[in-house]
Amino acid sequence: MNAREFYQTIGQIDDDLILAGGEQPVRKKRFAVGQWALAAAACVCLVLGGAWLYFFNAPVVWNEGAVGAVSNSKLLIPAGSTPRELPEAELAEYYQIEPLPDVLGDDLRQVYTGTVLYVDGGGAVVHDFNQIRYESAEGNRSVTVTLSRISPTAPAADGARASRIHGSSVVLTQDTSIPGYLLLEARWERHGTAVCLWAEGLDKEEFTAVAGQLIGG
Amino acid sequence: MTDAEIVALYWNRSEEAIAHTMRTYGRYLMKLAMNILRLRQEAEECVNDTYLSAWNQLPPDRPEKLMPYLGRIARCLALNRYDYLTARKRSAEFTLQLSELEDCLPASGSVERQYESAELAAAISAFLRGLEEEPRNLFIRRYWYSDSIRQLAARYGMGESKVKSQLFRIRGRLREYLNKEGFAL
Repeated sequence: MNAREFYQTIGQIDDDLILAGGEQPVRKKRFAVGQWALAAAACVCLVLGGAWLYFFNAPVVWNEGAVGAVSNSKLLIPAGSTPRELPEAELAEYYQIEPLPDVLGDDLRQVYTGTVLYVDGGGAVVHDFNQIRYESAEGNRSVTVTLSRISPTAPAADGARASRIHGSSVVLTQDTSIPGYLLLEARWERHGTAVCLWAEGLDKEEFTAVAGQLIGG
Repeated sequence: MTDAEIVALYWNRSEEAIAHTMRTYGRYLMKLAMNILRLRQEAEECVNDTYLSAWNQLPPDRPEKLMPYLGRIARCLALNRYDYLTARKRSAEFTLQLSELEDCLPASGSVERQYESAELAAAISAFLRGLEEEPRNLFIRRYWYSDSIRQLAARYGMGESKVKSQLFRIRGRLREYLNKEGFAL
């Protein structure tokens, strides 16, 4: 047996062990004196920032529930259609949005891997769902932007409440159904394009800021 | 929607099965695939193929828990894809994980014993149950979820050196355990 086969065998361990491994642990933190000072300063900033938000921006509303099914599954691509590359330079024009930034937030850098439109025999676009990913250098934080004008995306849950971010109506959803695995999503529409943003490893405040950066204002 | 309800959709050949699977487990599967492949497009292909495999395998399969069931499929597909990418010198992180697992393989010449993969997996499960919770989950996060050392350090609030040394000790103990149980690998 080699290491690869052993790795495969590990895949067959009991389900409850796998599930337990997926739960978020209670982290032990040790703070140095300097870090306590930083934490205290951060608390002060949060209080001041919270006051600013309260007086100058309406608080956002988080809906609880499963985030929308947004994926580029092959099963959703119309049969018989063919892919046509959508160059990065044309992406903003096609989706009628501002050009996507190279960096979101402080350190989430765009990982451009190409965008594609699917066309029918006559050249008409029949599927235009694309995803653009941003990642931190460590790889433990990421944001995915999905864009679609034609391809259907799952609608927001019934009764979902919208927030106002830079004047745009945005539905924010958090999914806590998988223990230790917080999923955040923001949906809005801009000039006929459905924009969906979801994140891993970000807290809600940072995520909201990233959404605001994309919405602009 | 519960796992049982999603599985029922597959059995009823309802197209909503895929949509619900994406919604519930899409991010988890992407994270798993990315941990192994480190390339977005490759990981997406892997996740898409996982959905197709699930569609083809349910029925006759009827898993109780979808998270480990789908994760196993994704791991297997990602590993196959990794083999192809290895030739192009990608995913150094996952290559490192495989080389670490060689520590667990007993030296040849130990007692011969016929085994099935399921039997070996059961022995590994038994070994893991004998560990404390944190080292157990550390091992599973590294070699089932394929987290990087850095991710593990952040997750468990410890330095990377400590993560490496803990994993080293666990691998050594697993090797001794498998030797004692008579597994010749």
